[in-house]
Amino acid sequence: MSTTTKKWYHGMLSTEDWWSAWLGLFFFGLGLLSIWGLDAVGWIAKPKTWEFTDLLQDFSWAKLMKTSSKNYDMHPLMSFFVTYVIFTGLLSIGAYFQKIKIRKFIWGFTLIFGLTWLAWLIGHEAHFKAINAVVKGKNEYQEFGLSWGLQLGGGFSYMLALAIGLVIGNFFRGFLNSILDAAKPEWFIKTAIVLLGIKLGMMTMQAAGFTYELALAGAAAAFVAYLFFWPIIYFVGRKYFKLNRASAAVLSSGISICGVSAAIATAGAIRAKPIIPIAVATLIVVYAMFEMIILPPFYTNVAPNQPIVNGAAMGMTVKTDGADAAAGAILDELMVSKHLKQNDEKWEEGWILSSAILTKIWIDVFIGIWSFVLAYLWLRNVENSKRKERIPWSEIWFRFPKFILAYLLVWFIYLGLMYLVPDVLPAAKEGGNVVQGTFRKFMFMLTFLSIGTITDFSKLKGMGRLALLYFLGLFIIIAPIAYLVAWIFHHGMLPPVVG
Amino acid sequence: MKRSQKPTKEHVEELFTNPEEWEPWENKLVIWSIVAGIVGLVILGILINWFIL
Repeated sequence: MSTTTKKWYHGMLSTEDWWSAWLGLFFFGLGLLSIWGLDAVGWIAKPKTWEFTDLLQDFSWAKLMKTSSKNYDMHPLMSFFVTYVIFTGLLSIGAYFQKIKIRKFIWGFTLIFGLTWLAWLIGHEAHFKAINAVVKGKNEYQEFGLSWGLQLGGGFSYMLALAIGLVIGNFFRGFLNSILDAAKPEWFIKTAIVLLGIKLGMMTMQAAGFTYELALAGAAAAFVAYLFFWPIIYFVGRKYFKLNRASAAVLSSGISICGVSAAIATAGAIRAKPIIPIAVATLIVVYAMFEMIILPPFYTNVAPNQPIVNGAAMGMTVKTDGADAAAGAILDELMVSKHLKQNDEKWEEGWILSSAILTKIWIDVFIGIWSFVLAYLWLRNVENSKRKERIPWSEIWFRFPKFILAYLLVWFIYLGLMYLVPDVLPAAKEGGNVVQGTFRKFMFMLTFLSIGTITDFSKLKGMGRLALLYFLGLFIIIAPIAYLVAWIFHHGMLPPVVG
Repeated sequence: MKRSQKPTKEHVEELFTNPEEWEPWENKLVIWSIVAGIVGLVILGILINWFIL
């Protein structure tokens, strides 16, 4: 933990974490210009629900996509092109400062952009997406005259993007190499989470009390759950799986807090050998994929009447911010669709996802604090005779995930508008809706595809005992405790109903 | 989160080499953490159930 020479602004232009904050705040700022009557975000293309026989009979790009705002009267393909240019340009600036090879990034991102849009468009085919229920006065299922349909809502697009990513990552290694420099799921999802701060702001306007309650309950649940997770995994790893002390600590942080970054932070704090977090990180990434695939449909079917509990449990169970937000988004879509189908009542979208994000964010906050505590304990108990050094408090700041600051800043700015200048809210919401809607969903789509590409199932070979420990820890210890704690702190909470 | 290098058998074995004896301070760490968790669960659980749920 030799970071005493770092300045407080260290990494502001060079880390993925900070660039998530910058990019998210930039998009947020663009959306906010609507307060002064300037639509700086409506150019972004978004897919429309379409039906394939209708499209084949009379093909038109306008049936597949459109601009996000009527203020931009342009051909759908032009909107698509503008979207590509702006996203590629902005992300390339960030990639340049993060010292990613820029030509490879642009080429890789171009391919990811194309594949992501392909998945997004296919996912909007009516047989996959349309739900046979009235939403805001429309029933898409009946409007398209469907005789059958999976009725998965927007969740199918996410699952398709994930499947495409997984196929590329595990079967097309040559192609994978050409996109790997631009496959940055953590960057994409952290940016999307910053944009989710707008959604949280709008949710606060709609139901201020409930939003504060969700944030408070999430903080309490995360705090309590973490105090159980870490010591139990550490104890089991040391006593029954005979892990050495450093490995048990790194694994416990990885499986308990937020995955790879926690494992690396802990390894740094206790000066574990670098190969330990490599082995642990591999398991975290691969198992996060299993969690993403298994848990959303499982929770949706086992507890369809506890949406917020399910979201909070997801936030505490799924490791890595990317996988958690992605799983939360799938859960949100699946649960809202299922409830609509069964009860003809639509829950407001985004609340289940937000409960997953809020619990995760509070757990993320623990990385810095827990790294500090472990560094202190290791210095005192493991290395006490060798070194006498002070651990700087600044270490908590360096370990603190900065995108969370941006997320909270965006939320607080909306709260400020709500309480100080409520007259501008309708105008602010115009731009905000596009940014937290289309921009955020597109960043989610990029995340799903990228997270699939970086998941290599073959890495599980030879992991044996460690993979077994991770499996048991996750599904026998973490998941049940997370669900119990989530239930204690969130039971009975329901998202507001649309209309 | 990156597509990290493939861990070798040596990487995995490193995690299990030379497991140290379980020491009293580890006992304290585990027990105090769980005790804090239980206390937090009870107190925060009651407060959340009273004032929020």
